[in-house]
Amino acid sequence: MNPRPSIPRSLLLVSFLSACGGGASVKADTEPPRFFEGFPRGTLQEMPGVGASVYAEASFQRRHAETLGLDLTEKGLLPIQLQIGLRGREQESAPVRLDPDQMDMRFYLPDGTVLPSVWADVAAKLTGNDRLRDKVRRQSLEPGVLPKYENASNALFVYFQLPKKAVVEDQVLTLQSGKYGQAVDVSKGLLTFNVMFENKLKQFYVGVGR
Amino acid sequence: MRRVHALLLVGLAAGAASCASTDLTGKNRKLLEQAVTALEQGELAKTVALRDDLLASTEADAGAYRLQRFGAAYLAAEAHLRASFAGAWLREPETGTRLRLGAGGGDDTSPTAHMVAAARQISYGMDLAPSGVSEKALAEQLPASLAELGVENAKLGLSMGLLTVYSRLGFESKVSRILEQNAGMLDLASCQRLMDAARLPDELRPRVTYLVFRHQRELDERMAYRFAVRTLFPAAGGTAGVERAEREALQQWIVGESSYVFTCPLDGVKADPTTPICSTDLKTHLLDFVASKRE
Repeated sequence: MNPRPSIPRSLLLVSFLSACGGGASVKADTEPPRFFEGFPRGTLQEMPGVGASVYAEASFQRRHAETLGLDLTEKGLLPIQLQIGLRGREQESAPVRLDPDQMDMRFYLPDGTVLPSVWADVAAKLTGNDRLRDKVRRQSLEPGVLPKYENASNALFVYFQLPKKAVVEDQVLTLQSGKYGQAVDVSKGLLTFNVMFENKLKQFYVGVGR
Repeated sequence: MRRVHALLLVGLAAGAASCASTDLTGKNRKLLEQAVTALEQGELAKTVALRDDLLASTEADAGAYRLQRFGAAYLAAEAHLRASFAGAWLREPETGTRLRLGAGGGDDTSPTAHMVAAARQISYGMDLAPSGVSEKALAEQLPASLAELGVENAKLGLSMGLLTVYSRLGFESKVSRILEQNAGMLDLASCQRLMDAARLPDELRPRVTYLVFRHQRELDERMAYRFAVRTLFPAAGGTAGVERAEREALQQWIVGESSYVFTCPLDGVKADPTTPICSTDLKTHLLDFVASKRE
């Protein structure tokens, strides 16, 4: 069982303020639940007829600013690290790839809110300076033919558009969901995308650890 | 600054405590009754909204209303699980290709979003589930139908719901683990009793029996057959929770892949998995067919 995530101080204040049920910022859930450990963060999926499987691992690093040079959640983006590659006998020649027009990447927050992905260029532009722009581009996952998993670069970033007014502290994201605020644990979310092989698409699900 | 913070917190805590002193039990029970009615009438989004109302109004004194908060989470979990089959209201963004579960035909509703949301409500339910609740407390705090269900059966239903979520998203290792921990589910009669006790919605039952079939296929083929038949021909409702390819695979297994042949005890006709009864005598159910080793 994962340890209970710490509750952001701002959220505690808001919950006290809204304790009597007034105001638009009332929270229905002031902290994420604990029982559910999240979806498995590593997923292996066989590609029928290809002789190789795709393996992917995803995570949300609350200290991603140390790698990217800035906290992108403050710019309205949720960065998720993804390491993906091929395993199996035919991995050298298996033509499995992430097609930029077909991969349809998205992130499901635990409350069911679906975040669309945005291109690395969008994230890079948000940095506002050339040095960080280059850094973000270098650390971003590029679509294309998948390498052997052992040769895959360290986990690289993909980006998702956060809802308006969403705030991320540690791995807890607070957002308006219906008429109430909700606190959701990003690490209990679900990443999905399509991989392409032999002109067929296969949907991939992977949980997001910490 | 720190002192100002502390004073603010003390003041707010006092305020919260004073407004928490109002007994909300009766009001919450009415909310839960409305949520039960909404669920029965298929108003799934309303069920979840009522759960949010209850949780928001009791947040300041959550411990005092634990059983009612549990009831609300249970109902919301069921609403999301059912919405993942039909009646979805959560939506996908308007971008990208359409390879997602249930997507297509211009419909941007998202079964996947409902499965993820169901996992969260199941987790709230499991966190909140109280133990040793008296009959009196159940009757006073919960609507009659939830009180009759009881906490343990509701938890069982939540576990089964999580099983279906894991399975539909392809997390097979999690499925196996849950089944291994619930030996009572591996026999068809006992599994049906458990599903009845948990009042598992009809939409979810074929998925559960299908998963047990796959588990038992490697361990006990004769029992696997019974689960295969029950999946193809549920006691009630349709087979929406099982994909067409999965149903075809079940039929194929019965006809040719199992190491057993299943025949009618009255006339010896082999099982035809496209119809629930013997194709010759038109009365013997496939569940009553007998197994013999395939030669």
